Amino acid sequence: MPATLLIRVGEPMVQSVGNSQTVSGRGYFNYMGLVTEPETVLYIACEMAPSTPGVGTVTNEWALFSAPTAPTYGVAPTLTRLASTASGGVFTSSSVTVRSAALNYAPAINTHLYAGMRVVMGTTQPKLVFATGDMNCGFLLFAAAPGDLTLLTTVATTIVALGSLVNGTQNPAMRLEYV
Amino acid sequence: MRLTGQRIWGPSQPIIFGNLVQTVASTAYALHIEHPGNPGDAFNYVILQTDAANLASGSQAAEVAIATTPLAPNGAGQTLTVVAAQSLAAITAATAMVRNTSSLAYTKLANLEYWMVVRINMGTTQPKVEGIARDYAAGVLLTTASAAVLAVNNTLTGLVPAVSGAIGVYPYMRVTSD
Repeated sequence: MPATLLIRVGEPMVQSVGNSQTVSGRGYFNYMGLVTEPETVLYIACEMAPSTPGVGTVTNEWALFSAPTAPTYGVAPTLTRLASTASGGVFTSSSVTVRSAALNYAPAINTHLYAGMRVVMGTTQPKLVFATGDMNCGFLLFAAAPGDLTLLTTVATTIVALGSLVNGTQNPAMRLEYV
Repeated sequence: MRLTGQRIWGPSQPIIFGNLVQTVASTAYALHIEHPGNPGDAFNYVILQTDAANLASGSQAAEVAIATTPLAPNGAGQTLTVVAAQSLAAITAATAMVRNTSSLAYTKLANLEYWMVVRINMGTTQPKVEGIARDYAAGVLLTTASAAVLAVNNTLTGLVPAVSGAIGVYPYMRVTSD
């Protein structure tokens, strides 16, 4: 009997808590964990908030990155791009899942893996479900204006500012779907 | 994909955002560290985030610690033995990270059950901090009322907190090796 192909979901170590509008052109990077077994990342996904979909033309990229070490308190690493796509993101409907096009990338064992995304809308930036609770630990990083993520080799990052403990929103709550 | 960082450890319970927990003066709060990492590596800092609207005030006597228990969490109270402790930096500033003033510099040993612990005793106002909950009476969270200053070799009589539903009952903290 052939094995059933199960799609598994990897989430960041911090919590999804609220909704927030994305910043145009900002690169968002979330730590997804240490790769400890063979696996293939299919998609990066996030979720649209119940209101404020994106409006206008869209420029959007999704990418996987590696970091030299595990997240370290107070340290923003330089990330190295592993795989990317500029296809798949449709940000014009509320309360739907938005996925990248298939990445089909198998990261090496012992890779410290980050998921990344960037979206630029012509008129209105989309509001997404966000995560918070980084606590200066470097699970959630950003780059203010990294440009097209698919063209990067490496990207310097910044740790997100401390969020409110009650309803803070720091980075989009990206997930990985993998087999 | 293992969802752990190797240099930062947090509790396994969910953060209950929006439920700040009022810390109780001199109560010690202990959170089990489920996967403490490799023996030989260090636990150095326990970190907490203050909330600008619920700051502490008055004179401060506060410590963080690493403690061990004979058994893994098992639904019963346990005696915790402090193996490393340091004073907590001032927790009266606006939203900020606070941690111990000096490194714990504790080298992990194999086959021990580790806990991170905090005790805060303010002269005027105890801080509220983000709460975690849903221990399910499993003993992953332990509490000791009227605890003495956290110091190496002190013991704490840890009790399992009452089931609280979704209401945060414990301060949220992490321990780091950096």
